[in-house]
This record gives sequence, structure tokens and C-alpha cells, in this order.
Amino acid sequence: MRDFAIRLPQPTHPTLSRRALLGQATCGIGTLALAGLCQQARADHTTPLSPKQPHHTPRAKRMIFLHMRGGPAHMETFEHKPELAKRHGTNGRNGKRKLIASKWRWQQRGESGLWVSDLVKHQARHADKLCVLSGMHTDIANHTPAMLFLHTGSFTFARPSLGSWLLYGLGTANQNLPGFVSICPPLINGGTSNYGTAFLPSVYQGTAIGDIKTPVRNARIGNISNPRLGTSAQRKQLDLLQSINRDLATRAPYDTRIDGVIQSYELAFRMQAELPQVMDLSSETRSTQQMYGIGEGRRSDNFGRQCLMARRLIEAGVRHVEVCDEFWDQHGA
Amino acid sequence: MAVNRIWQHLFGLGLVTPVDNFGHNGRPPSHPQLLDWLAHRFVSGHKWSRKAMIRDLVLTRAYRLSSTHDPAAFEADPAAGLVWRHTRRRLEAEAIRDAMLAVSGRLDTSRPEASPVTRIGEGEVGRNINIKPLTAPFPHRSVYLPIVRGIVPEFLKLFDFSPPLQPQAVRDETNLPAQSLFLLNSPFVIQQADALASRMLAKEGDDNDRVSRAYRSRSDADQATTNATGLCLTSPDGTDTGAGPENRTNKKTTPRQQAWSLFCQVLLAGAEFRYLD
Repeated sequence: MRDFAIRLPQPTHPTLSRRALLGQATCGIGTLALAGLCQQARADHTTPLSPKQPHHTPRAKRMIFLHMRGGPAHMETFEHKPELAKRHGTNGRNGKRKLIASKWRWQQRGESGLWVSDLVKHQARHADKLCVLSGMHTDIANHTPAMLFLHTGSFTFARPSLGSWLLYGLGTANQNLPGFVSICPPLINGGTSNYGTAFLPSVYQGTAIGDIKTPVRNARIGNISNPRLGTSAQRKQLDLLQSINRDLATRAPYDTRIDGVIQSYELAFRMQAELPQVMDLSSETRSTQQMYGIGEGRRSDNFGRQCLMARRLIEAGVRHVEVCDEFWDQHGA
Repeated sequence: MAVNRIWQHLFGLGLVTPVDNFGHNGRPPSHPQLLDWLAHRFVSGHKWSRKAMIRDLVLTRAYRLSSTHDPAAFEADPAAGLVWRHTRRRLEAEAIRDAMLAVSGRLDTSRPEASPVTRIGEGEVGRNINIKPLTAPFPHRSVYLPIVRGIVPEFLKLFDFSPPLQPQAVRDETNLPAQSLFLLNSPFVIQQADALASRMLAKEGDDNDRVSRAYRSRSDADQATTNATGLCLTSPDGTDTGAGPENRTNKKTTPRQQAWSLFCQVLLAGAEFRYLD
């Protein structure tokens, strides 16, 4: 079996040095199970982020994860509790508090007869397309471990996030954009670990747009534009930079990492142009914006903008977008 | 094990790999007698002094080899595990940052008194914590940068600093567009470029001298190319420097200063600045 621990030879293919890094980074911890994947990864793809064909043709090709921390109680939305309604006003088990039934009316919906409350009556119209999982349970007591568990599968060990796994396994369609984006992620409760790569190569890391405390209108991707140069002036500067990089590459033809530097500058330059365009919602029609709840003073404005941005990112070829909103809990209601 | 890690840091590849899997999960050493000898020397000769051990290793002929390619040797040992040449590798984040501050003249080599973290006060990271002390300018050596889990300084995070959440024996060496964007657009790099340009303009000589001094190349041909393109960028003629209508620079900077700053930024951003030959 090929040993992945030793750095691989540096042949002339421009990206095989990344494969070496892929091998060293993912298999260096000694988990042999990953070795098979690494082997296949080398055989199949040209760069770590190129789209990869899974073992079957998928119907779902991209993912938007609406991560809305908090939420209304299940017995006000999708978990019908007729017994609770019957016992409304009576004492609870410890005798100190009273039981309260749902404050909304419940009905069966569609042809499936799914019980949904009037609180989510718009969603209820799609009852026949919904799959409600009533089997959730947890042994996690608090917010931070829960966030980490949700995003990475573990709250005790550092593990890669869902988006990173998707990129690792499937790559991404548009090489000019980050393959995994998190819109307005929280800084607490796991923070960067929720879109981090743990032991996977860092090329699969999520890119954050803004953070949860900043309205998405003002959110930026770090360093996406030059504060002192316009595009063509910057291209001139970049041309000089690349010519010097190429001189180095010529002197060191077997070190493909210099090629990697050259490529990453070109990619960054393209990203500077493409990413702000995708994030710019002004080209969407008024009716689209209204449908998303976007509008001055509307409470749904911020989240609506995030959702529309997520859709545009997906349409532009990004593999996985997470939209972060928080605190729609019903405490003290 | 200690000696193996020191070797890995200096030579790029441990005598035993992977460095964090000594034993059955790892590979046998490439130079078993050398490893034993070094271990013995470390303990008995240097009395566990890492500084002395490092000094020993960097004074060896092996360490002073260049990274020049040799086809026959490459054929036999492409990974250079047998150390027929020095493996080119990228500097760690801290070294790159320190180097930028050093050439721009803005590195403060004095030891800072206490960590910036002491100025944060009470609060929970990300919630109500005051992170201004962590993002304030910090011209000291990178080894003194505060590492708060969850708020790793940007420069370090971009250049593969070990994540504080887990042990990592060998740092990654990535080439991500986020790094390129930082080198092209960040206020930090632009500041260092400005400062470096001021230093260069303050020296005697003409522009030709300055470019030559700034970028010493191996061949005359390279030198000529760099001079030509470098001069083009630094020409006082507005159309060549990018000091045209698209330029959004601060009015206090002259086009000449701006042009030199752009050139200096190219030097800082180039691969050669961060790859050890």
C-alpha cells in the first residue's frame, strides 16, 4: 500500500504537490480508513476543489443550510399534542406549575393529513411535500456543544464541518468562488469550528461573509477589494508580481508549489470581480426582493437578504451555503 | 522524539514520519543511527538544551545545502528524505510576518510587557468581549501575539497557524486565495509596503540602483527583466504607475511614493519572500 506519510515526489503536473499535501494532511494522523479515499482522490481529480463524481448520479447537487438558532416550541408548530390540550390549566407533575396547551389552532393538512398548527399556516400549505421527523433526542445540555455537534458531529473532538466534508467529497462547480460559504456566522458557540476543517486540508475551509452581529448589507468578505487601486491598475501590479513568481518557477521547475502561488493569485483576482457581483442583490427585481421579505424597515429584511444571497451563490455554483440567523426563541412569550 | 521534531522543523521532513506517530503506526527512521546519535547528543552533550541542539544542526553541511535540482538524485530520492539537497519550504506564519515588519523597519524587537489579553477586561469571547486590544497594531515579534481560542490573529490564521483546538505536529503549507487577497489588499501589507518604500527612497542612488538593491537576482537576465518592469512601475509618468483616474489613494502620497509602495508590495507578496530556498 502506498505510504502517504512521506511527501510525494514533485512531478511536473501543476497540482500533484497539492495531492501530496492532501495525502500528508489527511492520512498523516494514521487513520488507515481514509487511505482508500486518498488513493481514489488522487486518481480522479485534478485539483482538490474540482467537482468529483460520486458513486451514483445525485439529484441534489447543492445545499443551502438555513441555520436558525433557537426556534418556536415544537408543540406550537408540528407536534400536535391533544392530551396536553385536554389537560390545559391542570397541575403539572411536580404540582407547582400549570400545563399550557398550544395557543394556536391545529388542523390536518393536505392529502397526507399532517397535523400542523396555524402558526405556520403558509408552510402548512406544502404539507404533502414535508417530511417531519419526530424522533429527535439529545444528550447535550447547552448551546455551544450543541452547535459543534450539529455542525461537526462531535462536541468533544475537533472534527470537520459538514460543508468541509461536502467539498472534500464532491468539490465545487465554480472554481472562481469559494466552494463553501457561511453567511453571517456567529462568533461564539464554536465560532470558526462550525465551518472549519479540523484534520482535513484547509483548502476545504468555509469562507465567512460578515458575522451574525453585522447586518448582511454591510457584510464583507475580508480583503476582497483593494483600498487604493482600481482593477486595471491592480492588474498591472499583479502582472509584475506574477512575472517575478514565474522567474522563480523557472529556476525551480520541480517545485510545483510556486505554480500553486501563481494560480492562487489568479484565482484571487477573479474572485475579486465575481464574488461582489454575486453578493449584490440590486440586480434582482422588486418582486423577487419582496417575495424574500426584503424591504426598508421590514423585520424580515436581514434574513431575506441572506436567503437571496444564498440562492445567488448556489446558482453561481457554490456547493454549500449556510445562512445563519438567531434568536427566534419564544422565551417569555 | 524531541530531536526528530527539531530535525523536521529545520529540514522540512522528519527522520521519522509522520512526526506525530512514533511507533507502529509510523514509518521506520530514514537514518536510524543518526537519530540515535542525535538523541544521545541532545541528552548527554547538550543537556536537553534545544537551543544548543538547533545550533548544532544549523552548522552542519547538510543544513547548508542548497535546493538546486539534480536529475539523478531526484530520480533516486524525489522526496529528498536522504537529504541530498535542502527542501524548499515555506516559512511559518510568524516568520513571514516578522520578516515583513523587519524589512519595513517597523519591527519592535523589544519584549512587550504582558499580553494584550490583559487589557480586554471581563466578557465572553464573541458575545460582549472587547476585542479592540486584540486587533490593535502590534509591531512586536509574532511569537508574542495573543492566541485566544476562536480569535486567532488574521495573519497567523491565513498562513496555516496550528489551530488552537487540536495538536498538530506538522503545519500545513497551503496556497489559498484568501492569502493572495490578504497580500494584495490588506491594510497591514500596504502599510509595510509604504514603510519599505520610504526607506528605499531615503537611500542614495538612482531608481536603477534602488531596484537592484531591492531585488537581488541570480542571473543578469532576470535582473534586467526586473529592472525594466520595476522601473516601468516606478516611472514618474502618471500613466504607467496606476496613479491615474482609478487611483483612490490618499492625497498626501505622491504618485512617486505610491508607485514605489506598489513595487515594494510586489516584493513582499512574491513567492520568493516566503519560500526558503
